[in-house]
Amino acid sequence: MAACRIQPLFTAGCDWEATPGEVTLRIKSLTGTIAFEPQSTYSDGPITFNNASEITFTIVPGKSKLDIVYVFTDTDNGAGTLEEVCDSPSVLDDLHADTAAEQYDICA
Amino acid sequence: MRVTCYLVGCIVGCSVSMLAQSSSVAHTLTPACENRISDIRKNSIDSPQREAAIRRSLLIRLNATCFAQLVAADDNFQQQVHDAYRAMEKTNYVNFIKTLESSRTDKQAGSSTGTGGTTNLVSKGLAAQTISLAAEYGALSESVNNQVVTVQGSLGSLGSALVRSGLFQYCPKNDPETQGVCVRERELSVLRRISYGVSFDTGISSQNVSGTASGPASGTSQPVNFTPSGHNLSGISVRFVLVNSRDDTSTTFKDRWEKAFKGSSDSSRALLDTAATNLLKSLRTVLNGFESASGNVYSDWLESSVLDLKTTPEEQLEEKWYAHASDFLNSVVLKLDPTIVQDVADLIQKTRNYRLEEDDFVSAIVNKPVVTIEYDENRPTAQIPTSTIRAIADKGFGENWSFTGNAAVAIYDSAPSSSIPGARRLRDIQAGLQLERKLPSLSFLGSPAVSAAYYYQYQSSPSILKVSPSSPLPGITLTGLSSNAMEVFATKGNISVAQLKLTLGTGTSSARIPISVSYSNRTELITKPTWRAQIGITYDFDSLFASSGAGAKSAVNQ
Repeated sequence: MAACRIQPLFTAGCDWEATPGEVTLRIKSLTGTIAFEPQSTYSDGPITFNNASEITFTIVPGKSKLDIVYVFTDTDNGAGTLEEVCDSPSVLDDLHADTAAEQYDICA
Repeated sequence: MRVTCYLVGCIVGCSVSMLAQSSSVAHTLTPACENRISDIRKNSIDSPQREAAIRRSLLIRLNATCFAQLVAADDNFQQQVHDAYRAMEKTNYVNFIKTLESSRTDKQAGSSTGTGGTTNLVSKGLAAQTISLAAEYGALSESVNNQVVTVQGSLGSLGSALVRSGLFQYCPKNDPETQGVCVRERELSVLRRISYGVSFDTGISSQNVSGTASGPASGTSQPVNFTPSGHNLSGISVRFVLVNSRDDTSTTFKDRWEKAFKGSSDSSRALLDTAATNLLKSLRTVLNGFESASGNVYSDWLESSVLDLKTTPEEQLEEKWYAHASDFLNSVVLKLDPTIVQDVADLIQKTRNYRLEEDDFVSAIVNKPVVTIEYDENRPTAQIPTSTIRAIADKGFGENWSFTGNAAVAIYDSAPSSSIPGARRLRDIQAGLQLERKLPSLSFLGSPAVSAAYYYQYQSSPSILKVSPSSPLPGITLTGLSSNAMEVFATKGNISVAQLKLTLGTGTSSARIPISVSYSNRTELITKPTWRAQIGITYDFDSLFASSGAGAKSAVNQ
């Protein structure tokens, strides 16, 4: 598996620090099942929805935004984590059914 | 924009005094905020993971719903937020009335009466308005079987349609109290169990007119009183799902789940997609202006809060987190642009709308009826109306097999004539079994299925037909009847029917074509064995209504 491109930062300016290039994110469902809603967008390019819980897109240099809407089967208590598909991934976000839409600022 | 430019002077040095002031604000953490606190608690104090969780909890981008709810719950903003809701409700109500007006049947296009033909299948009047309005907001499906048009829907769909129209808010289980009329999640889940169907007979036999001489002949002319002798409404049914099974773990569920997200939006996902798009649009509106005006003030507040919360003992974590969050909001208030309250109210509304579509979407995939009770009021042409109570059991086995069982009792709505031998109110008792197997998908045939079924009917009372000399029965020729015969009846007997059926789907469309052949030892009228073949077409109009209902018709999306 490839080395990780994204490192979580969570500052006012950047949520993730990344190296430009193709990256795959996946959802790890902990309570219920969680999917990426197909209307999710990346500001500087298309998103490929590999399956319901995995997306691939190409991070461009500079600052870009990843807007994601999640779909939870357990709409009250659904929970999970977002991580990159790579060696030794970090938790990029904790997911909860109460917050279905999030925007991630990526600095590359 | 509005949010960030108000972070004036609220940097590290001010935070302590501001904390003292904000501690007087009512402490109302919503579940959206509490979840982030729980995430912090999962990690030990001073660990890098705990600091990361603290940061995630304070970033507006990742917690817009939580911060919007804090604004709405704050005493300083409550009235403004509720005024914003009132304004949205007023706009939604006006749009709803416009939609209602546009669906009025006296404005509908089509051939007028007297031309001998019409393309309008549905009866005029309030029923049509309700049905067309329900269709407008994606609450109905229609099927045409032979010459009977059936319109079906669920009360849950009607409830969802009223929320989509903007007339009512949707209140999910974990959402804070809302003002105004609210459709609650638990109420909607009960309504989803109740479905109804109305069948309209569009055949010629349903439109008979009979005339009776009302006076003496005058030359070659004679006055006649005309009366309708048929009817359009051929049946009403109501169903209630007693037992649901929830499957969100099996392989079958996983296949359905993946399929639901594959490819372009189909009828079941169209409303969810639109709600997601609207939610993102509202989120970006709230965040865009914040980002453009944030500067270092927000960054300084974030870093000072993280520094403080990193070493906060567990028992003080929630209170301190709330104090820092209120700190930030009160700073925003100092230079609050009134329109920010509108954006916050809109984000909360869009979040609730998305939750409604999410509940509907998920419910259709994970909930399967196991035991259902159905009541049918049947009003066939030239027969005494009957009422049938039916119990239906459905069970899936593995990925491709399903079993369905029925048991029913039918009674005449009115006592049949005592002159008919063996006639009684109890018309018949029915039982049926069906085994169905899904076949591999074919590109041009969609997802076909094959089934075998057996039906048994114990006839307690003979079949009775109403006759009159002026209204011959469609498809039946009677000879040798006495002139005063009002009813005819057949020899009663038990009926057994075996059927093999192939149902074809047409690719990704919602059309289904069932083709079947059946053998019965007799029918209700004919006492000889009978072979029959049937073919039909059903179409689920949800795909059309969902896309139209998800577009301009939903007032809150404008």
